[in-house]
Amino acid sequence: MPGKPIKTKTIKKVLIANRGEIAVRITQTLQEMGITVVAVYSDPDAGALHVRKADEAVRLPGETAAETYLQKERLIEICKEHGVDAVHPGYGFLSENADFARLCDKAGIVFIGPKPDVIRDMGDKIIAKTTMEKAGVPVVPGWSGAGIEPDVIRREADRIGYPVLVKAAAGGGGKGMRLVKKPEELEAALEAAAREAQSAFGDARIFLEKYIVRPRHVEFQIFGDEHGNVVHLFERECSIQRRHQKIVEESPSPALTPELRAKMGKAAVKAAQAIGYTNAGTVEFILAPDGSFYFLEVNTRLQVEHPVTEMVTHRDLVRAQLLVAQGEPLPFRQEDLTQEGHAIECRVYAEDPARNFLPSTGKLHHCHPPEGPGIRVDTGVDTGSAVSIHYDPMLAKLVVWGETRQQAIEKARWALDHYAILGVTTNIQFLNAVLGHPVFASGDIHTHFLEENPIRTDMQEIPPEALAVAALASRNGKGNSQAVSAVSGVVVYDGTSPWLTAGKWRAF
Amino acid sequence: MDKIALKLPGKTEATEIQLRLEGDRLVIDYDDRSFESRIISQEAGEGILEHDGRLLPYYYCWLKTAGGEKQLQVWVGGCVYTLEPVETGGRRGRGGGGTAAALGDIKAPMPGKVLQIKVAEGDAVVSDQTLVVMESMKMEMTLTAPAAGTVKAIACKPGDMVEMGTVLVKLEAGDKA
Repeated sequence: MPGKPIKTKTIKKVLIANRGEIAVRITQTLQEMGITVVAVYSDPDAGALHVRKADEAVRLPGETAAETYLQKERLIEICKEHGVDAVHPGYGFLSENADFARLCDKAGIVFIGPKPDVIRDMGDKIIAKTTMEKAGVPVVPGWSGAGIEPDVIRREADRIGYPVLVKAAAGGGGKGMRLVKKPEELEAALEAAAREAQSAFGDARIFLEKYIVRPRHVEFQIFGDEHGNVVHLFERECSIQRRHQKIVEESPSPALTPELRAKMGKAAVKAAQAIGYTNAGTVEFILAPDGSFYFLEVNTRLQVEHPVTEMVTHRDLVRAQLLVAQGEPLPFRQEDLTQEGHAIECRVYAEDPARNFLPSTGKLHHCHPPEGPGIRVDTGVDTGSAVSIHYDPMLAKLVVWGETRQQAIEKARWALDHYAILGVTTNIQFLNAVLGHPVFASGDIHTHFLEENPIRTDMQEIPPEALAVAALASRNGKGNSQAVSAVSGVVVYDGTSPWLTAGKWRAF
Repeated sequence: MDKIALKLPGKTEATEIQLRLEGDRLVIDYDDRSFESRIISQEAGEGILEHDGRLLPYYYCWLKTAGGEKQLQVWVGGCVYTLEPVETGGRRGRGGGGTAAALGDIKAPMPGKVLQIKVAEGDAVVSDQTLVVMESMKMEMTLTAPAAGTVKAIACKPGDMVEMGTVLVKLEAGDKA
């Protein structure tokens, strides 16, 4: 707090061990604070936006992540060579790598994140769950034990409550998994699951877990410092997912009452305290329709969707991360924090929804993000950037703030309508259709939203204005370029072709 | 005046589109329909049209796929349309053959590895039938027949590393013998 800083170390130079939009976003805050930013870049990223924004840049020879951004020892050497005080890992890459955090510690470089042991423990799902259960944080009810004594298991299943999932202890990929909706189905499911587990994994052990119907993914932003302070910065609802990948996030969650929010926030803080959490983190919960919630996992990093929290709390989480990393107390107390208005984030990907979300690569010939009050675009690309096969295909995060959820939806849809990217195929129109879906508007969402509410192509006609542009383009192409001089027309494929699409996305 | 052949959704034959530029007025006639836009501004690859009383910024770009094809991408009104040029002199001269040829080549949509080939030369295939399984960016994907037809040729084998746009399977679309 202002008045008596307990500064134990001053960070003057930070290496960002990341790329893309998150490196750009972190760079801005660090530069605002007068901190020198060292970027690193792989060969495909030479000249990328995150490099152009930095104060210094160091090449990591190679193309793949393994050859470049994941080179722990090389990154430490670069830090030493360049007089770097601290490393910000961003998300992904080395952000949840306990070894790397430990290497930084050993080299006397501040790792901007929690302690290595906390990263390690929370990376182990079983340790995490056991720790939280001991600390009194609700976890998904379950039972595991030796053998398949039907009487014991029946009693446990009754205790957990139906429906229950029977899972293989050695399991994975859905093998040896059975959903049991009522007690009569239990015995057959146990036998089938054990048989399947035996043949798939050579291990017939099974366990039970409560099956949450229509679950929501609601997570809490937590923040701790080295002085024992822990706060939460409210929730983010991330139920709109495709194959466990979040694509739309918002805060507040339409599902939380003030009472439930207080209860879950308290549980999140308790979880953070139980593990001595420092710096920014996220406690993920599954929220059932009846308001019961269960610990899922702790993400020991700055999340992709952190801007949603920044928009409703008017706080800069990266700035707070730096202060905490310097050993200062948190710049806010729980009672200072408020959640104002409504924020929505849409993840813009270079992928083709018409081709099963296949990543799309290429050069961005046009990249014109929307601008205006209440609109924030965190991006790592601009016109001329190349999207390669080597990294995550996320191009940008479009984040909007509105006074109400309805206003935020309207603003997000306006912004998506005005986001022009050409050169690669994007999910922009798909996102717009999701936000325009009546079920999304109702707020009655859950993690199976996209399975239950398919968003399909609209086989509509190409509108005249698109024909007009195509005509102009063909005409101009003929006039000034040999490469297209042979072009005498264009064919518009209908929506049934798997390779080319035209038209709008519409919610059904 | 320019003439442009467009294949519109739901049509098998190309529709001829007539484009007339009169000052800043762009008159387009097709299918007994006529509409008019006004060019408000026009620069390389972008501009603003007035259509139906509304101002519409637009962008476009020509892309060249690894297979050497040209594509036109148009952004207008918040939507992206992908179009592909055809040579009106050659393939289209064979009547309906133009459509068949356009559907015929199944190309690698991404650089990657061919895992499996699910059909053999001469096989009759139905729409959406899996032809090839590929792996790219650690993702498995299936390439399917866009329409019913016959496998004319297979141009790859399992284990092949292929570039984007490489022809993997040649299909003869249309009538089953």
